[in-house]
Amino acid sequence: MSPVDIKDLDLLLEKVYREGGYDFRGYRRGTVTRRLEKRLHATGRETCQDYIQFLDTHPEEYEKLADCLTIKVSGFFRNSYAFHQVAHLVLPELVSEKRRRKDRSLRVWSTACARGQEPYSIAILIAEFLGCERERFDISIYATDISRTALKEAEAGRYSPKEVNGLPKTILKNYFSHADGHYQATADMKRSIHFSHFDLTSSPQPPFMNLDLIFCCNILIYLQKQLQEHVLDMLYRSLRSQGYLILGESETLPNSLRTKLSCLDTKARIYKKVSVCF
Amino acid sequence: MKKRKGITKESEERYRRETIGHRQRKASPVKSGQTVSRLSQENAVMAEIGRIISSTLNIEEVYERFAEEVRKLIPFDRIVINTINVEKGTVMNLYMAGKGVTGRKVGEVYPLEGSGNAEMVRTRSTILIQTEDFSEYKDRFPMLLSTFQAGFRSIMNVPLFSKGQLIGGLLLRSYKPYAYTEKDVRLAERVSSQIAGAIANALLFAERERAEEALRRSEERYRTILEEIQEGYFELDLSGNFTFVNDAECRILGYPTREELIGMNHRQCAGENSAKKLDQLFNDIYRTGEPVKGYDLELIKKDGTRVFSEISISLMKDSQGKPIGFRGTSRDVTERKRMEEALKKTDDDLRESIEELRATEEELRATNEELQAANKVLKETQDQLIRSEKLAAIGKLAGGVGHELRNPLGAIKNAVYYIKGKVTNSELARKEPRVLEFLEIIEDEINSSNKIISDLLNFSRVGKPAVSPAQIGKVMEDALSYLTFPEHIEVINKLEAGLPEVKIDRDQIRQVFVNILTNAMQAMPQGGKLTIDGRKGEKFLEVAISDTGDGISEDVIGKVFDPLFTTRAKGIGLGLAVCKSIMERHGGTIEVKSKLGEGAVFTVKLPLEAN
Repeated sequence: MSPVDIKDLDLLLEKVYREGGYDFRGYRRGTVTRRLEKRLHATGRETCQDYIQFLDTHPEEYEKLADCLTIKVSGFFRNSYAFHQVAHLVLPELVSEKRRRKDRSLRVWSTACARGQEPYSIAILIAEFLGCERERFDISIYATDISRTALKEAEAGRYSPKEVNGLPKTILKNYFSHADGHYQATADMKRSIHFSHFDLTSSPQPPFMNLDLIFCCNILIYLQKQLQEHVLDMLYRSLRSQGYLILGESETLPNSLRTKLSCLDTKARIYKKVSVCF
Repeated sequence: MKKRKGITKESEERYRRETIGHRQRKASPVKSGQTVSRLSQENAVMAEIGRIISSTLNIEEVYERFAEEVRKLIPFDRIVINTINVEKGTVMNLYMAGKGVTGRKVGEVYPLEGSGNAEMVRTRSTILIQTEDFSEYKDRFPMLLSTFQAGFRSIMNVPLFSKGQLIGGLLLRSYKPYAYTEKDVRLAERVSSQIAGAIANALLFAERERAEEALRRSEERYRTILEEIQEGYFELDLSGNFTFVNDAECRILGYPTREELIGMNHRQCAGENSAKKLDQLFNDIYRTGEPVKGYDLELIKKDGTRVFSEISISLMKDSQGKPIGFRGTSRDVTERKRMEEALKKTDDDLRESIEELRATEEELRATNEELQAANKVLKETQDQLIRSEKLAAIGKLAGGVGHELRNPLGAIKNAVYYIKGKVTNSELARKEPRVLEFLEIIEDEINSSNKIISDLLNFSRVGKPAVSPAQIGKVMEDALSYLTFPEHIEVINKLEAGLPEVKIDRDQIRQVFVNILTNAMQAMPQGGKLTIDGRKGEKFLEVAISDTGDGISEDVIGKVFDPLFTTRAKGIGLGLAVCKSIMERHGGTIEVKSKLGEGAVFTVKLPLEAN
């Protein structure tokens, strides 16, 4: 039997929200339970109730728990098919539209950037796509995450050889500097990326507006339906008309948004905001 | 007569011709008495016919009595009353009496074309054919051939007019050749005009009856359909009150009788939401006149339970096109809805499961990464453990060996000293100068061995540091004073006096510096530059000692701190191991960076006291 009773779990999550300032109430119970068990083990607590008491005497545990509950698996060009489709489907359409409208800005949001691999991948993808035209575009990639520690690492942009494994040599050469056994994202690449702390699930308002492209991969899968809808609604609002939304491999839109976002690629989960007519 | 004026020239000729013969045959002086009695009979018959017509007898009896009366005036063997539909070109017999033409029946409809009736319609006049040789007529009246073949020789068709409209004919037939005179024609026309109105009325009446019957049947059909169909049917007035419902509608809404439902407002059968939708719906239908089909709506039954109904509604208008209400059908689709919901739920559940699965997969990946990280830490700890255990074993051994060797070595050293004292300036020394040389070699070797023994003992003795605040620059100066550097090695000490104090065991740290400096010196046999620098970091005080010597190759650099590792002929490889051990006991670190041929930098980090 699991040491985590579902009622206790609700109590705990409520406490973590009220006293720790982290809102995991809308997360799926399965993942939360399993990750919580890790913390129980790490702190030597046997039951969820013990752990609740432990939190009172060890306030630093809130952050550790939050860190543990947020899964930070990431990688460069993770879900390569989606990136491929962004390069071959989204960017050509988006950039030619921008050229036509003589609009030289590109606004992208990486909603849960973890240790930064996603925003750097996006930066590389856009730079490679634009080539020498890159200088003529004003590229802003907003990278946010709930975890401040992950964000710090993302901002540092330092990766081990294992982490950049699989990136082509030319990419490594052009976008990273190699020093003392690590790969460091170049300042040039970092210039277009703006890192900031943001909790996607608990904010009522989107932090950015008028975005061309949003990446929201493998976040929704951890959330309960209601929270999923809330997040998606917020993302929808921050997209400009005809902007693009990219979800994770197994993530789909709720019915309420299916008419507002048309699906460009079902496998890569690329959606486009239907133009709004007033 | 008026009607006679319409006769065509041709038929007039024929008429004349036929009647002339007739007259010739029949013309005989008529006595005036006969004429009078005949006239009065005529009048009596006419009056009787009038009575018959105005009586309440049904039309069949009227025909019957009429025929009887006609017979009193005009002889015939067969009488037919028919109605003619000029537009359709058809004739239908309404009444037949007398000897028949086989095959003709009352109610039977036959074509107008080719009959005497056709000619009658065309000329709007009486047709009289009296002949014994029909061949002359058979082309014009092929339909009359059977009449002639049945033996009739005198054929009279009198048109029936009602309100100027030709509605049919009175047909008189006689076997007798030339049976009818002009007077008979006139009489026949008189009775015809009398009966025509009645026939017209009867026809109209029958027509209306038929229409009514048809309407009744159609209504009955609709009623039956309404009763038997599973679909609910309802009518509402413009305020939305039920004005009509069928049983199915009652069933759907859960009302036992129609009476209960009729008069109720439709909103009473809908929740707040549905009522709003319905209002909008009715509004739209009223405004646009467009019907709505297949609209799904949740309604509330009499017992309060819910029913999903698929409704279709259209606007009901009066004959002037003014909206008077709504009519519609409804179907109970609760089951379908339930299945749809169930299907949707299954679909949602599936999606949910996939997402859950994906989350679990990601979680596993995260766990895996965490495990890998933990494994790395574990491995490092394990290495550390192995190293410190190895160190402990070596320390124990070294301590033992050191003590065992130190005393005999001391005795040897003393002995050599004594011998040297005796031998110096002696005869032996003069004769054998090499004796003194050997003694010096022995002394050197003893010193070397002593150094190794000190190393061994130092190594085994590294204990808990006895810390006190110290200026690192002082400790370094101390260390430098222990050593004598050859001239070709330039020593640059950049350690500043302003560096903060650190809590250290001076002797141990000095040992560390001495060891590193000794190594640096030995790495530059051809001379070079030895630089000592220090800086205050965030948490540590760092001292870097760099040389310009041979450097350390890549395959060796990872092992320099391992005990018993050495690249030199002399030395047992404990110096740097001792340094590392000391640094760890101080909560600090020692690192090396080097490349073969490019010298080496040893960096020592000592923890600064937290404020």
